[in-house]
Amino acid sequence: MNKKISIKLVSVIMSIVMIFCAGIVGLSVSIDSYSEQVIETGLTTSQIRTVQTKLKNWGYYSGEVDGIFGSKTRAAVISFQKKNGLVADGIVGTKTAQALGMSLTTQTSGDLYNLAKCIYAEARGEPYVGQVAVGAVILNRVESSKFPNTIYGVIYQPYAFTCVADGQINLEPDETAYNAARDALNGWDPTYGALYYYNPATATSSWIWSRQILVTIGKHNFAI
Amino acid sequence: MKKRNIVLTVALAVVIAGGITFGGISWASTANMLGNYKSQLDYVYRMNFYELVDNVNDIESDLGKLSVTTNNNNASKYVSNILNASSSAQNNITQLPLNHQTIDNTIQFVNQLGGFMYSLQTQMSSGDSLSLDDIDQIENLHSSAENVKYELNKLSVLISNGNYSIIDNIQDPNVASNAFSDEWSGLNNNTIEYPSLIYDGPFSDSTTNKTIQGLSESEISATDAEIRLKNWFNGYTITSNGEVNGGEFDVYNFTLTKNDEELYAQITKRDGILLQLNSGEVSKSKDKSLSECESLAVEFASKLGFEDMVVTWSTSSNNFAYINLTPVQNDVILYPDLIKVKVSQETGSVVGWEAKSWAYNHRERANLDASIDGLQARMAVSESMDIRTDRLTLIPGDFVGEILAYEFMCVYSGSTYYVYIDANTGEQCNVLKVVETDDGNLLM
Repeated sequence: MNKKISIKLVSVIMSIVMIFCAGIVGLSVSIDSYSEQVIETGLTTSQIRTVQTKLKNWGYYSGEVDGIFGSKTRAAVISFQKKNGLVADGIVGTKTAQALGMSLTTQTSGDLYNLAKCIYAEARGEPYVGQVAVGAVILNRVESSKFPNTIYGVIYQPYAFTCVADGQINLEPDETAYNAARDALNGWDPTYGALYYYNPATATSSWIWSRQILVTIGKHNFAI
Repeated sequence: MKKRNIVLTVALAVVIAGGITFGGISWASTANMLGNYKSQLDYVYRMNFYELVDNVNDIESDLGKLSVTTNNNNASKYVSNILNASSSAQNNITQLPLNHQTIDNTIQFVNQLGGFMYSLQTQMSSGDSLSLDDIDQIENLHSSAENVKYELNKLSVLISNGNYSIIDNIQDPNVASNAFSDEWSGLNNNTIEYPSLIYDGPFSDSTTNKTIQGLSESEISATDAEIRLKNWFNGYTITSNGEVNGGEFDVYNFTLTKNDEELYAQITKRDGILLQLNSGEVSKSKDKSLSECESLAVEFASKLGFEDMVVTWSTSSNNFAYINLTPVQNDVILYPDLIKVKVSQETGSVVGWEAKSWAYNHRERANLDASIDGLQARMAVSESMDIRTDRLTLIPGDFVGEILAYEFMCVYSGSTYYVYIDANTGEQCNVLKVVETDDGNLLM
């Protein structure tokens, strides 16, 4: 009987202690996160930097130009909005951005992503220059009148790439494939204008052998 | 014992029967689902096919009207109709499961047709009417379009037959040659004569055979090319990778190595300039600022013999600085000759170089005198634009030729624009907008 009571007592005390501890931990977390709070703004780091630079130059902001939208930046935005007759909500929307003299429009590059995906799926085992070469062939096709006129049009043209037929195109590209895609988009063409490439060990089409080979990189022949 | 056996047998029978029923149901539902997917895909192909036929029918009739109309307003209406129809026809045909070799000439035909219409549209919007040469070209195009239309309508009879399934005639999705493709053989250039088209546009047959104006005829040897590389890249081991002939430029290939770093370089045979350089290295930090990298790029160019280069554009992405260098003649920026340089912001070394535009275009320009002055040109810029800088530049024409133009960098409602005013006519010839992307700033 005594034993039972004592067990009950211990467990009650333990729970109280645990709840208390949890409270303190919770409290300390909330204090910490408040002091370093990063406010979700939908702005890019460079846009936040622009906001901070402008507010600093005009004397609204005294903190670091660090690209992090924290409580100090928010306070500066609010005082800027109040001074300029805008809704003082601390959010840099279209009107506030206009008053600040900056633009909010950004765009992501779907071309880069698609190109990197196709490079990764088709040539991930190839030397780097061979990966750029695959990207260059895709871009040469976009420029050619005999192929579709967009990057995704070229990639998803039926029978154009085996990686699309067998689903490897859906693999997430690695950093190397992204770099190769960037280099190809920046104009590096190790194939000298090639429109086709094939692996001579596995190519089945007799037609492809009739094309003029410009260069061989890794396992692939590049041809026009 | 016997009773037990009977129970066991019955139990087994129930399990087997259940299994078969379940398997059968799931097989049937999978087959049903596959059948649904097949029909869905067949509909998408059909839709593209019928749209293609419609577009080509429209192209054919509007080309016919265009060749006989005498009214400029009507002509420009037909031109824009054909332009739209050819661009959707191009979309339709490239989405069909066809062997590329069967239809590449047809794709080229609709692409060039669209390009030609675009150039006619530009010509007509500046007040010019169609020339006799234009009419000739239009008539040639019309007769090809009639043949394409005839072949497509023949196909249409086949495909509209209720029993014909496109999917069933493709067989293996990995093999380009298929029964469906074979039906299209009437469209390849053995049957239809597609005219060769020369016009002011991106797909013109003249732009595919560009002439190299930046390099002389004198060629250097592979040994000389290697010696040049040794002078330009100190401390690298240079290995020859053979040569390439028959591409845009005839070149020698080299691999340059230092420790783990690997660079690939191409030297042109004619004049022995560095045409391209690149590497797969990653840059891990931003130790060098963009402006430091700009100076390093200019320094590197001058070491290679490219003097008087100025930085006309730079952006940073992934710890690399991408810098455009442009030569200057008589204080005029020569944009058609620009060289792209990539500098690692970690090490400050040049790891990328692309001088194709320079090799194609660079030469001493004869006439760089403007007929109007900067103040007059300023009048052609919209008043709401806040002009920050101006300078005289040579810019590439839309597709061919070069234009001497004043460049005004302006700010309008928070965005940066580059406005170009023709320095001879005073007309605005181009507007570019700076677009901030996740991957650095772009000019569009």
